Amino acid sequence: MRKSKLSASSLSIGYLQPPSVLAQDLNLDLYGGELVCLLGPNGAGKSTLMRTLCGLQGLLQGSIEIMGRCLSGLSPKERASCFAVVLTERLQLGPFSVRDLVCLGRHPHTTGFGRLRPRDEAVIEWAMQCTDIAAIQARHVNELSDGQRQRVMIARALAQETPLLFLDEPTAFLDLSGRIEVAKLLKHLARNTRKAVLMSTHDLDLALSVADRIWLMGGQGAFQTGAPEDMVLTKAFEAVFCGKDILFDRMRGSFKARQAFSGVIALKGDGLRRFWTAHALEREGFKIIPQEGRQEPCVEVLEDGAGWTSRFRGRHQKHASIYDLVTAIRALKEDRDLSRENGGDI
Amino acid sequence: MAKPFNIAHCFISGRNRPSRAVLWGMLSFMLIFLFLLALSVGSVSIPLETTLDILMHKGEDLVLHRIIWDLRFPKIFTALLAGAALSVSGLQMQTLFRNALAGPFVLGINAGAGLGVALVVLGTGAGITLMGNAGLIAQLSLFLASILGAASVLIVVLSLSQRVQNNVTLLIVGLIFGMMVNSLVSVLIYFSEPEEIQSYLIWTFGSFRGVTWDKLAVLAPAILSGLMIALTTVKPLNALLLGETYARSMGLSLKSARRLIIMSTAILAGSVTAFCGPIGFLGIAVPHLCRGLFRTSDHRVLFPAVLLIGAALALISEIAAQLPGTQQTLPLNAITALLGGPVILWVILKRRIAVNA
Repeated sequence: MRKSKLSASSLSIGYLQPPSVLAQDLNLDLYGGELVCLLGPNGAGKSTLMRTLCGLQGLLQGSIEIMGRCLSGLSPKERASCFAVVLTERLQLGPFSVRDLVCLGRHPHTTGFGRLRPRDEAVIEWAMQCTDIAAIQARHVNELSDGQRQRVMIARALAQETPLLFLDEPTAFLDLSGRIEVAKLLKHLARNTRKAVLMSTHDLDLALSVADRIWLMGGQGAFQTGAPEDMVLTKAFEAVFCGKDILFDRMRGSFKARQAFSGVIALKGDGLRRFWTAHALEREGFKIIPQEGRQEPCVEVLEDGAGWTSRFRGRHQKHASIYDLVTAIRALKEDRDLSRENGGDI
Repeated sequence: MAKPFNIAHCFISGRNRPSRAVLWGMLSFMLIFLFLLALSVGSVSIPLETTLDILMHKGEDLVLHRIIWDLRFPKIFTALLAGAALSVSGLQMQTLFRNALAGPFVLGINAGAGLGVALVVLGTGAGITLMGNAGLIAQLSLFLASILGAASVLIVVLSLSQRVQNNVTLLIVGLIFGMMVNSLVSVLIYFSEPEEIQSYLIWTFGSFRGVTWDKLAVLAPAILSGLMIALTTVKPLNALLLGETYARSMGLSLKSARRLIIMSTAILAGSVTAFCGPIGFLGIAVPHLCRGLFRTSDHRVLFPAVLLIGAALALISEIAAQLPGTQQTLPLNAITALLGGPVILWVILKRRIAVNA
């Protein structure tokens, strides 16, 4: 059996003053080499769970064991050599070089004034290599882009040399490539350093593509865990996130806004172009059915990129792009809705 | 492995800034120069040669000998110690509260000392003159009152700091507490005679000149012990740069760090205020100046930098307040404000530009 780096049993988290329990009876494990993504709506208690697990906040009930030792029995310094964290708060530290910031990660390992020994220097170099920031080590932290700064904060956490790494929404302020870079980096770190990495995120796509395991907090104490794909198949995501405005597409693993129903439309064609045409029509609120015979309304994806044709309320049209197609159909639909409102006598 | 020093690299990436070694050299040289300058200028100008002769015990002139040894030396040492003390405590407060405008007195220490002094000067009706030849007992009671005032504020703030959760709350508590204490002083002023009020006002101007060798024997050990405690806060202060949560995640005990920081600040700022009056601006301006010069917030660099530049600026203020060559002196606080004000303005304006850009 695998040995967990962290295990919590019948854990309750929340606050004493004013009393509120965010989740209870949680049984959790974190294993070395795994990247776990913590998902859940705002207010479900993701940050509270993270803070509780790394001892920055007291737990209400239950117990947490780190590498076989009880968390509450650890001194602050021992805790600091078990966990490193990357937080969401923006830094405001004046002039400070990247290297100096990574050096701060050695804080629990140094004594006195924080003088670095050769071993500390070696760890700092390694942390900067891992996160690919060695080239910018002389730059100042407040001159960096958000993506670079996040890598620097991860390097600082690595320099702390801990078996567990917790990150609170590390991709929150980043652009698409920055998000993917950070996610890839974390996965790589988990695999190669055998750290247990836990990150909270709102980015479901990212979680689905990199996470080894999902922790899903549903609010009102609901908690589920499993591989991302398990979570799709058990409809766990839908249960937590779907409401009157949001739908979950189980085939694509993504959420979309629920549209007002506009009617049924037949679609003919195949391949990638059919997929995205359907996507556009669904965005307009249409339910797609396969084309059989000559029902109306219908859309046909012409072969060889020749465009699209549509038949709607007796009008036959040709369109050069999906945008044209959707705009034309929307105009006809609005026209139809208007005539229905007026009792159909126009 | 040490990398060879590369001048070209320094100019390309270092934006033509002098390296740290050069800065340290320049600072030490400036301090020695200021020291000699302060010995020779004053209401009586003493040529540098004569000054050096007197230092070597070769001079014949007993009056000049007395001026140098019994007046100027204590004054200079007081300025150096006070400048260093206020700047170090200013640095501590700015990092602890993550506030660019924090200084040695944000916790109300000066207000406490002021109340102590006000109680003696205004409350006793004894009409103790501060700058004149007041009796030793009167002077002693003044310092005692000032230290007691500062210490009692410290004790209140320290005990609150163990209960208050975050540092911003503590900052506000300190400020409000200081205002309340100050309002007590204004009540005392309201019921006092004009001469007493003048005496009190002169104390609030600040001065390094009232400190003799006897008093220095108390002030110097107090400040040195405060600096020793401050030295142990260098590492916690560096951790606090990232904020309290990060600091805790790196194993820092917030309460004990806060206790050490407040204790050393209280000793430093409290003893300076007791002996020299509430000297403003130095404590706020010097840390900013050092961050700008050394381009870092690392306290392992800032601590010695702040120490040296704080001492130098205090000495410059003292020399300028003397109005060299004349019999007149200006209030010390007027000079420190004129020197420190622009630095603080620069910091605020630079930050605004950075935000707008």
